[in-house]
Amino acid sequence: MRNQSDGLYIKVKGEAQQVLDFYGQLKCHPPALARIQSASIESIGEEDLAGFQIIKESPSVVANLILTPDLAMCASCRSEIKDSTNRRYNYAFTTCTCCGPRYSIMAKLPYEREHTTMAPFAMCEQCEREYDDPENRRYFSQTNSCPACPVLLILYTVRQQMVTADQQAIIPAAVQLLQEGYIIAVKGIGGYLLLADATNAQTIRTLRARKRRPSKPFALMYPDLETAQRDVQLKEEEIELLQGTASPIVLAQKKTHPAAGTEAELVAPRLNKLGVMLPYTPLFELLLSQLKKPVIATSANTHGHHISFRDQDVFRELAGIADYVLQHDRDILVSQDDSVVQVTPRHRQSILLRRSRGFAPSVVREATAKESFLALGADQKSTFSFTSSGNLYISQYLGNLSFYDNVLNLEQSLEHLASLYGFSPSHILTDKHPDYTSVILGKRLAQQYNLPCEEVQHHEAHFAAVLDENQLLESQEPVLGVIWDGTGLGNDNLIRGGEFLLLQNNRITPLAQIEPYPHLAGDKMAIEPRLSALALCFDAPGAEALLKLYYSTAEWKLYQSILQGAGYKRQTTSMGRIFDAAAALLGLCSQMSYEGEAAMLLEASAAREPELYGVAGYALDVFNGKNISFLYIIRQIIKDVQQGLGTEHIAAKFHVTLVEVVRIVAEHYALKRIAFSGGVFQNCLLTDLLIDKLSPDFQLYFHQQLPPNDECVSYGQLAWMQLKGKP
Amino acid sequence: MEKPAERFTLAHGSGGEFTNQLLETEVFSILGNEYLRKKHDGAVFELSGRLAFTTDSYVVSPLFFPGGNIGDLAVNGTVNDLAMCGAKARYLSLSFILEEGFSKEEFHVILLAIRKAADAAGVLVVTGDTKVVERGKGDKIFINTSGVGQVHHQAFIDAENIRAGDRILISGPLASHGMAIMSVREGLEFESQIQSDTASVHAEVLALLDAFGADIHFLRDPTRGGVATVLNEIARQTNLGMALEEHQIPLHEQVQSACEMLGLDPLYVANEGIFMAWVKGEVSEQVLQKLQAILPSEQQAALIGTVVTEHPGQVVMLTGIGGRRVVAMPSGEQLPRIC
Ligand SMILES: [Fe+3]
Ligand SMILES: [Mg+2]
Ligand SMILES: [Zn+2]
Ligand SMILES: [Zn+2]
Repeated sequence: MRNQSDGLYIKVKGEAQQVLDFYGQLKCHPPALARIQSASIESIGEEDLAGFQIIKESPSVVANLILTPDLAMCASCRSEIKDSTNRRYNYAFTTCTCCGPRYSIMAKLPYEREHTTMAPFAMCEQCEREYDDPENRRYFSQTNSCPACPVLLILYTVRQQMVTADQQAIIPAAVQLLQEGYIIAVKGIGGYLLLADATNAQTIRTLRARKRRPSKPFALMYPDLETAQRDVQLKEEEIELLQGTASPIVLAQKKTHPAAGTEAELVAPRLNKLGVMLPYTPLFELLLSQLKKPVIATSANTHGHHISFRDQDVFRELAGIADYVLQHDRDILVSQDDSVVQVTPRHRQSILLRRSRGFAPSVVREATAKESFLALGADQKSTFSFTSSGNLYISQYLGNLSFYDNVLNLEQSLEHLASLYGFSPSHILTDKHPDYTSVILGKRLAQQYNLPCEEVQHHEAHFAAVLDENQLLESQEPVLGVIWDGTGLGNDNLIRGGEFLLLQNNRITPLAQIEPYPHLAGDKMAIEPRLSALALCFDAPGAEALLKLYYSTAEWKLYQSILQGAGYKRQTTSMGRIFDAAAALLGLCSQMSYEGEAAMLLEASAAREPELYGVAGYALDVFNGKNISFLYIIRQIIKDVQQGLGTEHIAAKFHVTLVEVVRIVAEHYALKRIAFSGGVFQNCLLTDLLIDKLSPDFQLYFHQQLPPNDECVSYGQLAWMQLKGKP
Repeated sequence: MEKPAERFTLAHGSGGEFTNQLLETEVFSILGNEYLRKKHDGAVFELSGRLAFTTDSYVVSPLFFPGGNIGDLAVNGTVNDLAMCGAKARYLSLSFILEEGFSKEEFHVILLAIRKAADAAGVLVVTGDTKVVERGKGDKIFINTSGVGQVHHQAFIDAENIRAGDRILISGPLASHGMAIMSVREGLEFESQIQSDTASVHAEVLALLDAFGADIHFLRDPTRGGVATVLNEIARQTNLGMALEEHQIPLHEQVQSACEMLGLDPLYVANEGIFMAWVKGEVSEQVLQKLQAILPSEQQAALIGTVVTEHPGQVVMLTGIGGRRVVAMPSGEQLPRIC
């Protein structure tokens, strides 16, 4: 057996039928974590094979392997570290072939210990024996170590004064500090997480103040499933996710009376969901099982920056945020945040919100293109994707590229993945927005290496992504693309975000849109729902009474004169801003303190409507085949607010109306297949309503392995390129 | 009711009697000097040493704005372009392209502004030209000025002199001109009126050259496209990084709040009366002190950044809340990006 960077080679000797049976068995029942992309068998004639043997890789082979994501601690390892008779009792770096870090520690393919940051750690005799024993769970386990040949913990103050390096004392000391209300940065898999007692209101307030994060929800880590279930409703799908190999943050429905002691209203103010996860490393497991309470577990970083992951930088980066730093000496090479997933409450559709640790960078599918394309995605939820040797890889979530440190991190991640696969692009794809850092970067790379560079319109990339994920790129039947997000630059330079596109005969064309309305005040509009509301309905009767209170006299005068004058130049079709406008009109949010706040509050409000699925939407204006007028709908909302109709009911009506908007376009053009992409479809309620009201009359397609937000754009750019290649 | 006589007609640009009359009653009487009075096709003068020469055309809407008009801009802009070469402006040419129907009264006010700005800068208008184009072929008035100046004997202004470690100095608060224009153009009322900063900066520049000579490595005035554009151009040209510190950047409170309300980044807004200097790191604090001593007390000069070897070709700003933001080269208008 030979593990090579282009795949696994097995030589088998035996009767023809025996060998074929072996091959069939292996393909049908691969080991739990194995993913067979392709397999083939050939006869190599007589050869003397001396029993079962594993042969070292032969060098100089082009890498063509799936890179394994980091794997959460498995059940066997979990029970070992809790078993006082086991030699790994309380050992914080217990792993086996079924679990432990992979992508985050790999410098080179194939996956060998020398190619990881485990290389400096020599195994003790006992570990060696496990490693060499084919019967052992740790046979060829590259991350193998134990208390006799350990990865070492060390506890510091944030000023880098050592508190203790005594391996027995460290975890109890850290638990004690958490008990006392201190904030500790703990080195995890993809970087440091800030842990803080989630039952301590003062600690949470301190953390919010230090992170300058007044109300954005924090994720929680619970000691175990039972404790989590006191706070949130977890059904089969959620439990499977929480306990699975990816072990992401799961956004789950908050119980009416959370009973785990969590300060839920401080953790996720005014929201109906909590982000929960279970300890996914032995270190977290040991901390949490001794603390016996939920903790806030949030990426350790300064405002807007990628997660801290380098030991030498963490003290500087977290000064003023953490009180203590719990480190260990196994290096992290690739930073990753925790992934985030939710499952819609009614129809159990899973929606990925952030694809990172546990998911990245494995292949979503095989690439059809043999060329090496590099796609640089969008800017705010940045990812890059590339095809190499017939495989397609998608980076982890790389954050907002208006921050320079995130750009550096993207460049380093790109360099790292490219060197792992010996990848050099032959073609570069970017968005169309001339001010995106990703576009500027793509152009620079294209110029530097003299490569062709293609611009892909933002919403066409979204559409291509969801089409490709559902194998619809070659669909004979036309497909309606409903692409709703915040902002993407249109082919006509309009600030778009409420698009209906058509896939027909391998071509994407625009079909209809949200009727354009004024775009006010640049990027400021995206963080101030009061501006969206004003832009959408400034001359609608009753709007002034609802909105004026959110403005100073000077502001009100200014925006009135902009909207009344012929001066404003820009228009938008953004659906994201329409959610913002509705939230502002309902008094839910006039200025956001974090991205998506208004839309999340609107969804949370609608979810409280007890008769949600019986609510009728607002009347729609006559559809001319081109424009859907939201002014028409907003006027009705204003009327409802004026008449004192409940906020929850109006929010629900708004959501239901959106389903009717989709229906009216699909029916007008007699389209039966509808695919959805864009940040708006992170909304659980909208997704459930769409499925509820449009299935099975229409066939609905959602993202599967990718988030509907801009993280899917780089993948979509590659998919778009496939379409372009078609006649 | 307006009298037809108070407006320009095509005849004013014909070169005949109307033109003569216009020159006599307006241009010569306001700007008159020994060179202009010769009424020759060109001016003859002597200048010694290294000379600098520049030209610029001025088209601005509106023509009149708080703090000035197109006339001030046309003089100050060219005087400042010469100052950015380390030169003292001496002689200007002045050409008008007038649209048929343009108000003579407005022309008069513009001429007075030109005279005043030229006097303030110690520069003479020595030659010029006037054309009138058909209605619709122009936009009221376009002005072109060219200028020649004498380069300070200690000035060695060249982007090639910029080194890592140089500090970036700015002579006053950002964005006043652009925001003043915008407030008029868009009919926007802010709490208090924003004044354009249009002014010549040669006196400050020459004083710095007197005191620091070759330690002033480079000069630029951040006009159209603002400070961000200049910094990006210099970063690319030198292949060095420009590291800004947001909290050091001077900004009038009213300008800041106007920018905020409109969602504009002041780094990208035009200026007409400030300059940027790249100065040797070791003397930068002294340069700042010297500049502050000669500026009017209310104008805040500041060291806003440093030239670094990190992020070559790029401008990165340390923001108030501790993050490092990419300050990109503007592609044109500021298009919204946030999703
Ligand atoms: Fe998008
Ligand atoms: Mg010029
Ligand atoms: Zn395990
Ligand atoms: Zn060991």
